[in-house]
Amino acid sequence: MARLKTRLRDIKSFIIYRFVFLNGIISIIVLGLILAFLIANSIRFFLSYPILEFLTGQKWSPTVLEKFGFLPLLTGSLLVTFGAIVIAIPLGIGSAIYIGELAPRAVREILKPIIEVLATIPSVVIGFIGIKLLAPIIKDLFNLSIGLTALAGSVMLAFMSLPTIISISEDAINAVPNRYRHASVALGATKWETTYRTVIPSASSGIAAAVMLGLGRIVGETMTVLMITGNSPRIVFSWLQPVRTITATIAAEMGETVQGGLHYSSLFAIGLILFLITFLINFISDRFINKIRES
Amino acid sequence: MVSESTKDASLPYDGQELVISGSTTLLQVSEAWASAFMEKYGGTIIVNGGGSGGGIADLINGVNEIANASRQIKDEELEAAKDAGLDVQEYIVLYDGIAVIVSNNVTVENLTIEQLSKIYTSEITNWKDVGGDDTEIIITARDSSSGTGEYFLEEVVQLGKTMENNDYSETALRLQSNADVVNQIKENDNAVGYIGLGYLEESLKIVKVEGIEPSVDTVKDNSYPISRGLYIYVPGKELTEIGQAYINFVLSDEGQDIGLEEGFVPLK
Repeated sequence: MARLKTRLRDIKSFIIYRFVFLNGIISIIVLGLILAFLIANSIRFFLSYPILEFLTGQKWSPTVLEKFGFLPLLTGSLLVTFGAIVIAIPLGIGSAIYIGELAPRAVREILKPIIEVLATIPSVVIGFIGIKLLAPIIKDLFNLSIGLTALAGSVMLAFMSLPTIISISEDAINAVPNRYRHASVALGATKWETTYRTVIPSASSGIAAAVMLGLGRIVGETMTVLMITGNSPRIVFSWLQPVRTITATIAAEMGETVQGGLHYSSLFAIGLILFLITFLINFISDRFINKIRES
Repeated sequence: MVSESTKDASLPYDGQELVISGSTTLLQVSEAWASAFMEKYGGTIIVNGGGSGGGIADLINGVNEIANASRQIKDEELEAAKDAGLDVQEYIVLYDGIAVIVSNNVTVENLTIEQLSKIYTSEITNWKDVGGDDTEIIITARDSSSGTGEYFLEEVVQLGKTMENNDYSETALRLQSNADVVNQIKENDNAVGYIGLGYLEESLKIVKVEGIEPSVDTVKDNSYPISRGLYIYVPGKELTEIGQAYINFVLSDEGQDIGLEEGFVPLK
């Protein structure tokens, strides 16, 4: 009887183990399939369009001149992303430190769930807020004719990435053992010195992960930037000009392309590059995190 | 949209199904046609968007029977259809006029097609060069995925395809819908844009094109220069009974009246 029971338990654990294993494998297979799908659909573009002209071209005019210059889209994405990160990192980490280290327990219990709920606002709603509230403010503030600019995109994307950055950074700060703090204070450090020199370095791998996850969200975000960055495909280095991002280009142009045509496969090509960029971000951050963990 | 006739089963097309997809410009009016048709003749008509290109791809792949398009079918697509053994047939179902609108602070009343072309290619960048104040021009356009945008490009920016290398200036903002253009033109300064006739509102400042005000009448008598046809494409030989009946309905006086109600210009 007892043996049967152990037997059943063995079978159960075997099945569960296999199930978990299967889940892990499936996600890898899906990732591989996505990559294969992107490559299969963009191959026509890479075969018929000179790749150097694609990567260094300064003009994106897919239907009229059939010029597929990637640079305006890349600079657009970089500008918006960089702006968003510059806004989101200090705000995000600052909030996390406040919630994790300084805020009274009661405040913390209220703030954290509220910030996590912010993450659930759909991007199209954020886009609406950007069009209706932020763009007019930017227009008046900088005395522009129109408020749909890279800056509008950066601000809204920073807003979207904040919940991720705050929540995960705060978890990391919270996970720092209290004895670290006690030891630091015992050595005569002030509260701020303790936070700055002991807690943050100990939590740095978690904070780095938080920033990278936020960055991933920013780079891949589509709907919001499509709505509020104006989508002019030109190379600019000012946040007060409209820009066109990689994601917005795919979303805006896919609808009416001739399926299987050059324009169609060019959109898959920039999708492939976007995929590689986000893959690289995750890869680097993973390495980075592991390194900190080891040391 | 899926809706089935709930009336008695004596309607002639009950039990038959028709799938329509394509241009978002035609989406609303197609839904209106479909529901009026089902009310009268029965059957089930499913209308989807997906864009003109998507609709034509669906037609070639045998997913739909009727493809809505706010542009004419392209040679590449015709060839693909031929390879799939389809002889595609084209119908013009309505006309649409494209109105040029400006922000309220712009004082210009009239523009020629040539001036518009120069504005949209950034050859003219200041309103004073076309008789307005000394301020920059903010250009708003649509993306290549928009039938309206593509038509305006060919007819105006490329001067009726005589300047085939003209593209929208890279400084042009690319907005995502007629409603979006209306919104941005209203809320910002110095901007110019274009929208389908059906989207005109009282509060918008309309610019005459070549001295002609856009309206149903001026589109109909062909005096307004920026108007276009809207199309549907069907597989000629394989068209079902209900498909043919739907086309007849769309082209009938009743169907055309529905088009007028939706802001388009009837054929007759």
